Order: sequence, then structure tokens, then C-alpha cells
Amino acid sequence: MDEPRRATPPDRNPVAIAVAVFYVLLFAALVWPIYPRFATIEPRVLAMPFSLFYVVVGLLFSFFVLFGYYLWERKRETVDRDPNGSSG
Amino acid sequence: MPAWLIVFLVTIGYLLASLAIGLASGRHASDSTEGYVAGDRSLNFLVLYFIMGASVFSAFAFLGGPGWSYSRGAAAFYILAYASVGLVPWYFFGPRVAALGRRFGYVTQAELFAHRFDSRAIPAILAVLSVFAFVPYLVIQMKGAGYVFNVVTEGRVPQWAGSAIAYGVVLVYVFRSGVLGVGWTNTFQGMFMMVLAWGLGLYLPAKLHGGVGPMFDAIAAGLPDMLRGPGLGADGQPWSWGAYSSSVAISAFGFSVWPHYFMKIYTARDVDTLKRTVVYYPTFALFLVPILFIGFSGVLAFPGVEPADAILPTIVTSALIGLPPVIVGLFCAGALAASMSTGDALLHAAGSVAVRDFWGNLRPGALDDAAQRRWIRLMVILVGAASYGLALIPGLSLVELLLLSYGFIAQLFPLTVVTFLWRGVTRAGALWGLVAGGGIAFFLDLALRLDLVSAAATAGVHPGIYGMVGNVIVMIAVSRHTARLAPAHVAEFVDR
Repeated sequence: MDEPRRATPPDRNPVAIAVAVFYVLLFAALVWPIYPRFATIEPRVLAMPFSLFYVVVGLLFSFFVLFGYYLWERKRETVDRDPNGSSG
Repeated sequence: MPAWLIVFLVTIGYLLASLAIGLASGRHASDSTEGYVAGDRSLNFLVLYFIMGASVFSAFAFLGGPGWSYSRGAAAFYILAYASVGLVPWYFFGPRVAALGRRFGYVTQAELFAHRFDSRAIPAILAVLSVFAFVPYLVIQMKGAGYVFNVVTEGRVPQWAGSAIAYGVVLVYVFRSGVLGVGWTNTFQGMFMMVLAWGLGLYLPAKLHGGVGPMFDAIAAGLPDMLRGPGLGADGQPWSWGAYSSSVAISAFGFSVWPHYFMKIYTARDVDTLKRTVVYYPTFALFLVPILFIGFSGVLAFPGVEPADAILPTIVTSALIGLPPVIVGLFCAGALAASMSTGDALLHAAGSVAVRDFWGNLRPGALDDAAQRRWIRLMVILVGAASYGLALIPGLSLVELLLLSYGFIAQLFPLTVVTFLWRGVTRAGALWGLVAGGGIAFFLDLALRLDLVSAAATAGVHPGIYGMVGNVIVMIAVSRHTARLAPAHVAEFVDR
């Protein structure tokens, strides 16, 4: 029987796994025992104490990594749809 | 014109604008339950982004955020920490949830679990607990709204009337327009809050200390413990890293599975919309940084404000700052926006969950689509009225109830993960894992409050984390010894 393909098969490609691992590490970096090493007042960056700057950098990393992954996925989908392109 | 009247009129102007947007937006929805609850699965990126952003940054963020940084310093950074990872799971399981919702017609979270585990007990339990978790959350939002009204009109509008005015508006647009009313008003309210947060967050440190840098210099010199992680506890003593870390963890795990957010996955127009919402979410979270600056600006300039959550209205209305009444009015509107944009989603979700998941499981097929919509609307009114009644009780502490509900909601995270990743989990495994996790979180919390267990014995770790560990162990153990679900059925949810 011709099963219709699911709209969104779960991604188990190496890049998706790397992204997932990154987020586990990011989470780890924001709690004990890693964050306490950086939760200091000095050095001050952009007027903020380092304890705050560090968390803001985590937030920005979270955005840029997922943004990059999103663009990569879109590019891959475009290649997949293009009959002349490699479909892997 | 007296200053308080200008403030009041600006606030009323904001409320009228919210009402107009809320009413106008519902005209595009179909006349069905799917239209009312899931917006016909048609929401675009802008609206979904603001629904998520504005619902999350509630009265808690707008009043509680400055309150935390004011009284507990670096402890408040935990909010930024969990916001940076909390929504990311959606990127991975969200598209799957949306596709299944489209295929099987789910509009609530429990409907997914009910189908996946072929269980009527799981959704009924979730429905009861969700509504119990929503009510204290809603009451806090309502109290916040009344409080703001009261402070900025210098006591002329009593708290009960302030809550009633703001939530009267919310009730009208949620009743009339469903999720589209929630969405479009949140877009308006979200933009409003962002502008206000950045404006006040940079202006107040400049006005009180000559800038953000000098403000932190002064705090570092006088109260250095406030700026070092993990900040201070509620008692003013340095907080423990166990408590800080588990607060980040419990909030991050719970974030992606709160029933009223989770069901917004079904409202997305398509997978791309959903993914972009998750990707851009941290940009909304950045708005918390100036919110925290507001609290820090008051540490040395306004010592001893009680309760700490009053610090923002206290600063804004103080003669020392000398803000023009129009700006104070805009602040008042912004705080109301924060309260209302969370409260509306809660009201809407409570009605939907009570009717679809609770009654729908007790008496399947008893209500047709039109009757469901009628009952959801009725429930919106009933839950709104009950919460308002609770909001009027003075001295009722709901924050603790809310923290307790976080412990329970986080138990849905392992359930969501196994829904898509583990074929072997059985109906009994899922159910008893949930019961064990919720039970451990509840009783440990109770034991801590009654001093039957010392905080040192749990290393300050949130009871919900112990609940999650128990949840996973019981889920695995029971699943190994009970009958598996039909493989063809499970294959609908778990690939390979």
C-alpha cells in the first residue's frame, strides 16, 4: 500500500544530533557546576557584571545556533526538492 | 488636569485599543471548535511569536522580574538561563505534534497523550491538574492588574475594581474571539511591553545612577553578594547552587510542556512558522535584561520596599524620578498588558481543557461541535469568575501553589519525550510514571514546608526534579512488566 509520507520525519541526521548535544551542553553551562566558575562580578563586560554577561551570551548562542540550523535545514530541503540537485 | 487622571485616561485608552483589536481579530475564524481553540491552524509567525513571548512574560516578569533583581540580585538571572533553552525542545517535537494534530484533529495537549497511550485516565488527570495549575497563575495575574491600577491612581481605583476592569476586557475578547483574540492582542501588548521595558530599563539607571555601568559599580561596592551568582535567597542570605540550578532545570523542562503553551503548537499555520517561532524566541527573552536593570536601579536608590514586587510601580510613580503622567500611564498600560496577555491565554486554555479533555473523556461524544464551543465559552466565564473571587481574598498566598504546580507540570516533559522516542512505553507505564512523579513532587514539597524534611537533605533541589527521576524510573519499570500497545498504533508516533 502506498503510505503517504509523514510531513515531518524526526531528524536523526548527525547535524540534528550535534545541535541537540549543543543544547544539552548549553544547559549544563548555565547551571552548577560550570556556571559558578563564571558567576563573578569581574571582569565587567558592556557595563554588566560577568555573571549576567555570561548568561546573556548563552541566550545569544541559543539564538544563533538554532538560527544556523534552521537555515541549514531550509537549504537542504531546497536541494532535496530540486530534481537536478543531489538528494543524498 | 490632575496627574492621576491623565494616567488613568492613558490606561483606559490602552484597554479600549486591546478590546478593539481582540474583537476585530475573531471575525476571521471559522465558526467551529477548531476555529475557537486552534484558530483553524492558521496563525502566522508574527502572531505566534508574540503569543509565546507575551504569554510567558507575564505579570511575573514585569513586576516579579524587577522584584527579583531588586531583592535577590543575581538569583534573577535564572529566568534568562531557562528562557535560553526552554523552548528549544519544540523545534524537535513541535512539527511532529502539529502534523499529528492536523491528522487526528487534536486541539489540546491531553488529546495527544490520550491517543498515544490509548488512555482516558491520563487526559482526565491532566485536565484536572491543568485547571488547578492555571487558577493560581490566573489569580496572580488578576491581582497584578488590580495592584497596578491602584498604585498609579494613588488609591482612587481600588484593587478589586482595577482587576475587574482589566479582566472584564479580557473576558469579552476571549469569549468572542477565542485564540485569535488572544493572539492579536498579545501582538499589540507584546510590542508595547518591549518598547516600555527597554525605555525604562535604560532610562531609570541613567536617571538614578548616571548609567548602567555606574549603577553596577555602586552595587558591586556596597552589596557585592547581589551580583555574584547565585545571588540571594528569599531570606536575604546567599542562595544555594542546588536551588539555583534546579530552578533553572524545573522551569526549562516545564516551559515547553505547559498545557496552555503546548496547545499553541496546533495553531501554527505550518512547520516553518513553528520553527521560526522557536528560533526567534530568545530575542523576546532579551527583553528581560532591561527588566532586570529596573530592579537593580532601585537597590540603592529605594531601599526597603516591601513587597519587592512593588519596586517598579514605586520607582515609576516616585517624585524623585519626575516622569510625566503620560509616561506613567504608558507604564501602567504595559504592566496591564503583561498581566492580560498571560491571563487571556490561561482563561482560553482552561475552558478548552475542561471541556475537551475532562468532559470529553468522561462522556465521549456527548457534545457536538457547537455545544463544545458553547461550553468552552461558559467555562471561560466560570473560571474567570472563580479566579476573580479568589483574587479578592486578602493575604491568600498563591505563589507557593504556583511553584508547586511547576513541579507537577515538569512531569509532562518525560512523557512528551517518550511519546515520540520510545516504542516500549506502555499505557500503565506512562500513567504510573506520571502519578509517581507528581506524587513525589507534591509530598516532598509538603514535607519540606512542614519541616519533616530539611532543605539540606534535598541539597536545596526542587522537589519536581526528584519527581522527574521517580517518574522515569517507575515509567521504565512498569513498562517492562505490562502489555505493550499495538506496534502499528505506536508507529504513528515513533519512527524506526
